[in-house]
Amino acid sequence: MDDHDDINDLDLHGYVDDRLDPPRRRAVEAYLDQHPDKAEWVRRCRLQSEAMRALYGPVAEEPLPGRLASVFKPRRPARFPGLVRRMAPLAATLLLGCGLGWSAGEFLPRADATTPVLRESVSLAHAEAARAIVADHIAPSSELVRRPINWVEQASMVDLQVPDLSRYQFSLVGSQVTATTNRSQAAQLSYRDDRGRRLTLQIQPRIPEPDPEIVTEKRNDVRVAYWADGPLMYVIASDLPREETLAVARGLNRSIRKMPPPETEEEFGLAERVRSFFQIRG
Amino acid sequence: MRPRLIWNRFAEPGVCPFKIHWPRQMVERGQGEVMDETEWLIAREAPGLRRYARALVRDRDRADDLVQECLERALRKRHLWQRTGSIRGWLLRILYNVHINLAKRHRNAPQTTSIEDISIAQPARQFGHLQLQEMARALDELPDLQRETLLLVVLEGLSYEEAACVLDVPVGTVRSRLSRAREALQSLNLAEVRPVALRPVALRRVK
Repeated sequence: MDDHDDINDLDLHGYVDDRLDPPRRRAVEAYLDQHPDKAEWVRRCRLQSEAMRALYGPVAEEPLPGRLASVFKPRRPARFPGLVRRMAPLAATLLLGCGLGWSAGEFLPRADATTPVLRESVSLAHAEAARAIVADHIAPSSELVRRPINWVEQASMVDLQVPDLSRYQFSLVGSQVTATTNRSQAAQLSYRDDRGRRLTLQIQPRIPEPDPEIVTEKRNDVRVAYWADGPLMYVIASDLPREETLAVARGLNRSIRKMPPPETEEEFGLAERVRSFFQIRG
Repeated sequence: MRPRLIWNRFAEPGVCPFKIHWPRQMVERGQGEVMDETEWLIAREAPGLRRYARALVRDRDRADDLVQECLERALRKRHLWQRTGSIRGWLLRILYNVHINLAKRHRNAPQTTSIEDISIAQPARQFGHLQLQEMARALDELPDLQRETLLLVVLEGLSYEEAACVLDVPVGTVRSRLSRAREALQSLNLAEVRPVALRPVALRRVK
């Protein structure tokens, strides 16, 4: 009669901590229906978890005391950020080499480059809402909702939670990874309130490089290609010649970021060769 | 990541063909102030660190000492963050190590906080003040290693793998500590006063 012989304590802990994938979770729920003693155990564990969060959770809502806040000292933008201190000799030479005239403006944040794109993109997305809305209401914990948020988390290394706007009468009706107007990607969450008014949220990691520079070199007789993508660093080693390595690396980079493959197969014309020549020298 | 000088394509006219890719981005804080990106990420996690520290040592001032030491150490060593995991895990690991070191130093110092002194900011809707104190007492009676592990998973919402990384033990150890801690807490009966329906935890970290 028991179809759930393989459910063990580990699954029960995973269930209590909400860490099972949906099929396994359903299996555990079916198992708990048949085993009231285990269901009682799970119920107590969950209550204890909630009590622990109720006990200490409010601490994180308190404003940071002054002595902790003063650990962080925001400052005026330095003409030469901290890097120069660490790499002083090399940086000084390089800076002399490329001239001091470009200093401040070049080193300031690039945030302003992305926000107009996102502002334009979110307004367009909001206008054509029909496409974004997938259901009357979707649970914030479902796989569908987590996917875009997971994507942002992976790209930015920042932990996020699907925002709960229920106290403003907004419920979640759509969730997707969408293309912005400059063909970069953003996570998009759509909400609707009980009066039918809509709200669209787009989130984008702040350091997007849609097409990062890929560098290749020979190391220990192996072709190595590497590139930085926001907070991530990729390195691949292969037996392929340089051009193929570059093409594969570009495809790989787009694929791992869930972007569509390159539209046209790239040709390795003169410009490309010159560019990769400089990249290797760099 | 070492900074590298790269050829900036065929630079637009008027733009330096050489561009130094700074390993750290700056984050704007308004009024023209900027903050190092890593520093910003660390500051963002400070409230969560306070929560875990308070649960570890229970005393408000000692917990904030712990967090202050952790933050200062993290800022000093921020270049050591490999960006191979979440910064939260890295910070919790530092916090835990600071805690272990301080605990060694103060092993013989008298424990000043009694359970009754634990400040409970605002009892949550479904629990009364007494129930929360009972919870605190039960947590206090757990062996340190079990309590630290349980709180990482339950309070901080870490996966078992992340918790193992913070505590520097194998994942199996995390599971067995968790299992023993939960068995020990089974005698605690929280439901008697105000029963709460079993429901999935809605407001949790997604990861």
